[in-house]
Amino acid sequence: MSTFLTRLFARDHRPALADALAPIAAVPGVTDYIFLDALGTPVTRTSNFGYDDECLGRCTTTLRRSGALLDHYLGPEATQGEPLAFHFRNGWLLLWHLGGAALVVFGREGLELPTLRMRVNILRTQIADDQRLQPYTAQGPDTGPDWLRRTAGSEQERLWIDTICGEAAPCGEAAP
Amino acid sequence: MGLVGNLKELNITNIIELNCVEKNTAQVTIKTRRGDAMVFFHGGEIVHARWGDLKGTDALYRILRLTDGEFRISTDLAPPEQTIFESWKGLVLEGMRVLDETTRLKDTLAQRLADELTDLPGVSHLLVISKNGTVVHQQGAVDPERAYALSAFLTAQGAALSDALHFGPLNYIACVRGQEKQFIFDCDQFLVVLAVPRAADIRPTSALIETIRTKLKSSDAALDPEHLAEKATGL
Repeated sequence: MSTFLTRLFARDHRPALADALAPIAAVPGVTDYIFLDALGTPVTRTSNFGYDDECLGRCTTTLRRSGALLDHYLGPEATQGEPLAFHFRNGWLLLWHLGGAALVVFGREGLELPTLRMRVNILRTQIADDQRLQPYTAQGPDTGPDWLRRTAGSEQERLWIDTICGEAAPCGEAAP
Repeated sequence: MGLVGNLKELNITNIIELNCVEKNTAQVTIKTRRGDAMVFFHGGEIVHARWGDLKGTDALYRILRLTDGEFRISTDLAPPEQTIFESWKGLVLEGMRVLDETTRLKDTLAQRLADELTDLPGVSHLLVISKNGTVVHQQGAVDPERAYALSAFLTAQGAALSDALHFGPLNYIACVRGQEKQFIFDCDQFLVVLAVPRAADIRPTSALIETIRTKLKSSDAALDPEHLAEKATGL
């Protein structure tokens, strides 16, 4: 399915996706969540999300980059459906990859992680079983080493990416 | 006549040596976040130093730890007062000794952190690595170069997220790899990467790291002249 059709199709089923995500928001300690489709576009999120769109855009990109580099480091299958978790003094940020989509959950101290983990696994099963939800998680644009390098904020970041992913192929040469 | 530059290019010890050997009467002013730091020379001897409310050798020893900042050397300016009476060579040596001691304390703390973590049950691999990539301790099968690159990248992203979302300091980053859980702790000057069984309780480890992190922060404060100047001036 083309990207355009995928998104057109996906728009029609936002309520179904919101229903599937509702149990996530109900987990004790979850303050917000945001579901990004395979293009990195926010599809649905809690209504009381307390940040402006620009801040949210930057943060979700930062998280997707972190998740992408971790996948390159560990191998995409190694995480076995578990999140990449950032634990801060004042809360949690968790990122799950659901196919090409991403689920970002914001939590406060006291977040019930086992319950959240269980509900994300149920969501994963629902997505696999419900054709209406599958287009959201179809593989989107490449988030490979070139994307990581392109979106790097500094030369230092590019060096770290090169260390994990291998150096970029010189112009005119195919990447290994 | 004046000379301007940055301490990154000409360090403070060299500036002192230059003025003392040349038997200058001069004033060196270094711009810092906490105001101007000043050292005065008369006939090739250090006679006065001032930074915020600090004066004399207290100010000089802190100024000796500065590694960055624009400076200006103005010659033939008479010092406003004399608060230092020791020979310049002795002062520089003592300043360097204090600096070395604090650096050593930090290295010892990092090694102690590694020793205590190694003793924790179930730790399958452990890497304590300084922020410049120097391995302090390595245990188990881990590629230090790649582990450092990942940890440094993720902690940098964590800092950006914390700034944007006002989540406070980063405690740790966690992910799963097969039957293991990997943790990355940011201990200011050091990164700690460790793997424990997936079902392990991370709280004791986290508490231990927090204790060491606090001690490292104290030694960092001892190393940071601007922090000390801030403390002394009550800013």
